[in-house]
Amino acid sequence: MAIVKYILEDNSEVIIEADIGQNLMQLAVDNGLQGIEGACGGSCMCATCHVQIESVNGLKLEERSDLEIEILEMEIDEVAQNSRLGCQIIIREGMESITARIASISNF
Amino acid sequence: MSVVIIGAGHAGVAAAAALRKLDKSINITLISDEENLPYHRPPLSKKTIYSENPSFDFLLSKDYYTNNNIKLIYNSPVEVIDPDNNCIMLLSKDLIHYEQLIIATGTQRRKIVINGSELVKTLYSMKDAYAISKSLANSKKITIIGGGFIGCEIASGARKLNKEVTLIEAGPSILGRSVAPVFSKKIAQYHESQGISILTNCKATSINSNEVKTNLKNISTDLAIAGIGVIPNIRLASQAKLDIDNGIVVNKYLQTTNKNIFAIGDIANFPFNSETGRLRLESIQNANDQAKIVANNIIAIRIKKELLKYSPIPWFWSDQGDLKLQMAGIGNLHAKHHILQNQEKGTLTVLHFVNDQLVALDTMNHGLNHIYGRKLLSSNQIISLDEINKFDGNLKSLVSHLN
Repeated sequence: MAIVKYILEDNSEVIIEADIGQNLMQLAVDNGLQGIEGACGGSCMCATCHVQIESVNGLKLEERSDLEIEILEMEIDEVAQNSRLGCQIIIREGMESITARIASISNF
Repeated sequence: MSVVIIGAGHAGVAAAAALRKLDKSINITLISDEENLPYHRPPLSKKTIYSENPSFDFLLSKDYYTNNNIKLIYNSPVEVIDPDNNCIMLLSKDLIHYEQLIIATGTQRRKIVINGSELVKTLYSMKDAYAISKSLANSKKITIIGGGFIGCEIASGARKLNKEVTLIEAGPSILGRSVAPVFSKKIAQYHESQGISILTNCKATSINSNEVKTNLKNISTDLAIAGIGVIPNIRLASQAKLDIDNGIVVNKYLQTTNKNIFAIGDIANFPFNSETGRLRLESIQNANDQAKIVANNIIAIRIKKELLKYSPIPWFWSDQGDLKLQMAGIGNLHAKHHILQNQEKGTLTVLHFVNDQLVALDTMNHGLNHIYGRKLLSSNQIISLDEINKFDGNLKSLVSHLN
């Protein structure tokens, strides 16, 4: 289990306990958080689960794959160093807490 | 202002969410003819039905609808649209008024019409998924009728459960209408290597409780599942006198022939480009992107801003056993196909050219090429085979070169 803190677009915070194996996209959707869509259901084909990771305690996150980087660059106007696809961040044994800012994308 | 959305599939739900994001105050009513929270449909054939206790991924949580003041009405088929009075009537005879109406009623599975067809299962909804999951668990010999994406996904999923699987296709090859012939051939070879028996040019003629009879042979069968395409749910639109032609005819702004009514998702027949003409797409990309455009345009009309055109780079995916298939763009019958050389083992990338211009690509186990392909297709430049050969088949280098 790990603690995930989401910072929403209005800067309010939501803290959720996540089980091993859950990903940050599904966790946000299941908890009704705005700004995370998961349009492709976690197939790594869109970027509607974009988050920016502000801090990680415990086990470090795996690096972004080339595919994840390419999708972020295609779909997001300004990709930050800590930009990630929520669906690709899976809670693993040893993770303690993660703070993720929901960085909503706009198509307009 | 009030917007009513008929249909709570991907398109309807995404439109509700997009509208709410753009405007906090409008009344949004989302009408579902199912009794459950709206859910992701692609997993049904990819994952859900292979478990004896199926679970479903919801599009949005129940709280989302409440917190965002989206009125989700369950289990309520719409009886009729009354465009003269800007209202709809539910089966319960309740009337709901709208200023703008979005029709997102999607499609239904085409039913097979042969003797014994009542024994054939189809997969479209959560209800169907429960029924098929139960039948699959109790069956050994499965016959899939129809070699489209759904049929292929179910065939490979059932094979993974160690069932004896036969896939029959009326045309000369599986996935014949969707991908390049060389690509579908590779997929067929994979399925056969996994032990699926594929019969092409094969038509089911009748079915009984232990076999499917076809023009080629009789297939011993415990469970028959058909995936032979879908039919747009146009009843409401047609009663409302909207233009109908393979779905609801919309313009590039997704407006129907009634200025207060829009149509999106699987049901919308929209102008794509001069080469292809009109298209009706059955995909998540199409549902979500159209939802955003329609939400924008409904608000834009209200505040007298310019409307947005829907001009997509279509994409689609299918999971079949160990194959991740990703398709981008729209090919056609005149397309020339080219296998991209110098690629990693176990992957396949097929490019479609029309008039020596890249229009689509099919990739197998190569997510990166799929994304590069989408970048190339959205570059607004003519990309010829020569151009691709200059970069030795390295799509990444070509993308960087164009930027």
